[in-house]
Amino acid sequence: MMTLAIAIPLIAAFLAAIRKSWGYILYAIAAILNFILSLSLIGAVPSIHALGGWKPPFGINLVLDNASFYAILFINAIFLIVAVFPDIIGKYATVMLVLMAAVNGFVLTGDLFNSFVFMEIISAAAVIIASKRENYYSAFKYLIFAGIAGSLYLIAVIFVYTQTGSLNMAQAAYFSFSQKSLVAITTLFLIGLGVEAKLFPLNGWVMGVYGGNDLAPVILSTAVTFSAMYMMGRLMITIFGGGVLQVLYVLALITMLAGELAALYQKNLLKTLAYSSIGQAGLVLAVLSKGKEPFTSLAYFQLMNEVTAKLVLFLVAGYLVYKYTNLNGIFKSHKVLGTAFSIASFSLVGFPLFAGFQSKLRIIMEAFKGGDYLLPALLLLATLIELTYLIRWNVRLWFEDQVEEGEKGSWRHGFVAIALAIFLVVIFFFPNIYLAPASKMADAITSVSGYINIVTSGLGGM
Amino acid sequence: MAITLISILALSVAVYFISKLSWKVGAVINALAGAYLMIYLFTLKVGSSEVLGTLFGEKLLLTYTNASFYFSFVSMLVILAVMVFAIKWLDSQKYPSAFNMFLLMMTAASLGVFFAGDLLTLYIFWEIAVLSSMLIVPMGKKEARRAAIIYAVMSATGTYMYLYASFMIYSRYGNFNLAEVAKDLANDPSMPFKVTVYLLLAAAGIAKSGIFPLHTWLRIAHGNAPDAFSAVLSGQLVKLGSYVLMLVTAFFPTLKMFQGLELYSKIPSPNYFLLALGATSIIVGTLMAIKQDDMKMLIAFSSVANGGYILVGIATMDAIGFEGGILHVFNHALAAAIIFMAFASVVYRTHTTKISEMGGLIHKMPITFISYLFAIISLAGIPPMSGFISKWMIYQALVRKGMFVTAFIAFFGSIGSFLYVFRPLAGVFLGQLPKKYKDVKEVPAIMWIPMVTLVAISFIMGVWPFPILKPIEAMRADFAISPSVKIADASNWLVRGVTGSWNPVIVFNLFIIGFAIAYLLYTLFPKPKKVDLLAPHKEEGAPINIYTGGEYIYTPDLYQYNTKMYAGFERMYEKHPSWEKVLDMLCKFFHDLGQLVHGWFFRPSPSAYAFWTVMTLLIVFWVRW
Repeated sequence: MMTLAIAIPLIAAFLAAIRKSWGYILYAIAAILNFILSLSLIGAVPSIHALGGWKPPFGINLVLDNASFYAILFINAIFLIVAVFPDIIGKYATVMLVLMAAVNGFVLTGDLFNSFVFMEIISAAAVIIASKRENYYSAFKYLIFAGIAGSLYLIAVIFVYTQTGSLNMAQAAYFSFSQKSLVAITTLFLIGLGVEAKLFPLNGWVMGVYGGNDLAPVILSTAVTFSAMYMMGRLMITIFGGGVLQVLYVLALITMLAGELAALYQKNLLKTLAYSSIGQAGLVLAVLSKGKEPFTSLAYFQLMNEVTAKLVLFLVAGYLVYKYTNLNGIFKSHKVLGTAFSIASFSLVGFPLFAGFQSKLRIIMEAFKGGDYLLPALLLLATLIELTYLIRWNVRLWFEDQVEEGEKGSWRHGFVAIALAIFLVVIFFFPNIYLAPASKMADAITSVSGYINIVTSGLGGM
Repeated sequence: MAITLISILALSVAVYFISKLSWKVGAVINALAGAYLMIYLFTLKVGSSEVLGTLFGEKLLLTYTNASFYFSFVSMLVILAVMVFAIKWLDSQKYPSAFNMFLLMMTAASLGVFFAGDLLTLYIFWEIAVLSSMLIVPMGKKEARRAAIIYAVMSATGTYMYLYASFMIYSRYGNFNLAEVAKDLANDPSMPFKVTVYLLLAAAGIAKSGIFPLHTWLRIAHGNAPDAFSAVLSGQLVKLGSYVLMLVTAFFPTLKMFQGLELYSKIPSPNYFLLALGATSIIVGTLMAIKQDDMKMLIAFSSVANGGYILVGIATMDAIGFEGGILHVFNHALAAAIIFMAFASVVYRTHTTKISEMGGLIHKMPITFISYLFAIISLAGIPPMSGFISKWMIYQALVRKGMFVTAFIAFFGSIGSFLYVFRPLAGVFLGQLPKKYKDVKEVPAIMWIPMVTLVAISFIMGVWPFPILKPIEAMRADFAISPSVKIADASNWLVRGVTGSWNPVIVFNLFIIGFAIAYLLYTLFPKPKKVDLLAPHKEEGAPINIYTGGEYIYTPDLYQYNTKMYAGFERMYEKHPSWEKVLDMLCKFFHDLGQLVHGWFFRPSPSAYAFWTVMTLLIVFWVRW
């Protein structure tokens, strides 16, 4: 069954390439089917699917455990939400379909080389998406970064192959590496994934790509980031436990501060939000790099909150930035969008009554329990900076004297944005909506033997 | 308690939509909700406790104490007055619906702060109060947009320090509960931990109540917020800060906690540090207030100074000083609220806050004038208004403790306050009426009634302060600060100090006699004659024969004598170092740091990216190998 999650969008992409005019319809159908499919997979957890009947560790296998299940559920939900906006997708339906297939494959795969292939497809699709609205130079810079990252990732895969004689992840997890080879492998993976996960200083592309058009941030900062963070956890914790987690911790803290500081300096709304997502990625990575529960579940909880909030922010910002040239006081004409934007930014800061509060405070609390006094201090400093620029933008968009005449807004944007914003409030009151899946994901990610067991015992599948 | 707070929070959202249909109805609902809350405070039993919910496996507690009652009561007095005031005043505002919503939301959240039984509940309500008030601020003047950001950032600076300390406490004691934490802190052997926690928790109060060095937001936020809301900001919201300062200095047994750290006259050095900050605030607030030409900014700085008095009073850790500081919360809340409402009334009619553009409004707005007059008498600490008693009590404590430097600063601030409160009085209400305000009228009754009510309360409490001293005495008993004399002695009509006692009734009677004599003289002597600005120049076209400095005067409005009123005094500290500039530099530092990061890592060409990738790779290998 789980192969369908990759196959459906891929077939749709071929069809869309043949008949351009069907593009959006095919995308919408594929997104709906994929979402239903990932929902229905809940009965199949945990299981694996060995492609071509080649049993692991010989062939390529797809692994559906709690972690990958909730990841593809979340990701496909985002693809579904984006399907509401034909004007954002525009002519990019084919590429979006390819991206959907690749992201699903990237999350589900249990094979290292296979994951490299999917990552390359993600990069290729993302670069094309980034070039929307003639944002070519930024897309080119992204291409260079993705290229370097891909080659390092590939070298890491080769290293693993020379050591274990297999490309299977479970095999690699089972294999006991020497400390030196483990460091070499994880470092290469860290750099390879670091580009997509927006790790400092590999995140130079983010500002140009997210800030260049309305499609790239909506899908890249949400679904693709989520898959990268999933893979970061899977590789750094499940497969190659230990390794360079402390290095990741340090780099992630730098990422957090660097992203927020750059956002404070930035004057352009989309670029500010792009930097802000770097900062948030830094926080998630820092928490993830603790490598154990309950930090892992909190990292994914924070990630889910952040992605939901960022989806709202980028939807609203992308819509307004390309509609008006001067945004001062524009929310006076777009009250619904404005409310959603404000709620999402308050959630991002972590004010009580909004989702971000739940995750940020839990992170601080657990860090203190673990005896880490640095992370909370830096987290609060970063939050202070974040609050500064987000309040600045909110005040400017709501209260400055309006320069441009407001036009009638799009109901799709209004509806989706406000629904997600209300959802963020709901999560404050019922954090388990996100926290329960996040902790299930985290359990699956931190349990190495569980993962190996699934792959070795769950042979067969569809 | 929990249900009431949550339903008021929910009601505030409903008020927005009601206000969309008719903001008047929304404002009336607000006032009714405020009145309900006021009555509700008296129905609650002191000592009752309730669970609000659970968060992170910890119970969120609401506990109603004497301190909760006192602070909530003062808050509701101010808020209720402003809510009634707003029923008419809102028609001069651009965002009445949002104003109603956020005002009610802030009210519920502030009460939540006072009811909070643990550090986390306090934080949650605190943030809601900050957020909702922060969203009202930018509805004011143009500069108010920047003010809102500065307010949010300064407030968050304090709040996050508080949050950090709360979690430090939690990780050490496994508890957020205030009462438990107080016990644990008393028995904790680690002095560095206690001092750190104490100062970090106090930071929230320092930022909120406008104590130096986090005071600069008051000028810009109080000065530019919507006029009536400044009354809430200055009268009520800064008292949240005083509440937290009271919690950490008096509720936490600091004398026991910091045993061995006594610095001067039995005050431990961490408390002394706060006391010094309070004293600095008195100086800074007073000197800066004297300079202001904008009447709202002037009173904003006076709030800094008065926040300093409150802190000094509480931090003396002396029974009479503590009571004086807490009583000053009430006095300053009322005085500031009346003053800002009086200003709001003036602005409602004249549309300006510049003192030098006004004058002579006493004939046009007599009730507003009287309210302002009584309020500043109280603010400056002149009998028979209640403001005198609290300042007198603070002086008593300082004198008794032999803290002559602080006492001198307190006296200096008091005399300085005569100077600055007189400035709007002279500039706005006295003097010559500019021609453009010829047709100005008194504000409608719905606006002056709340002002006059607060004046009456403040006046009565000046003559008979024992009802308001009762909850304060109860608070003091709760915190186990024992006095050497019985301070409030209602049966003998006395407020006792160490150097003597104060009999407010006799003083009031003396004042009445003095007033009667003055009135008698006023009626006996010939009536003053009202003359035009250009007295001999009665008719248009007649020759002008008023001149000064060798010039004939054509535009008397330009000769407002309030411009640079205290120039001589101001010149003495003209080139004072500016703390705002220091904070601006700090902002600029972060901004430049952002530019550096942006320029070095995010903006460069692809080749630089490749360079950084390889560098990272090499550094990681080097570190880990």
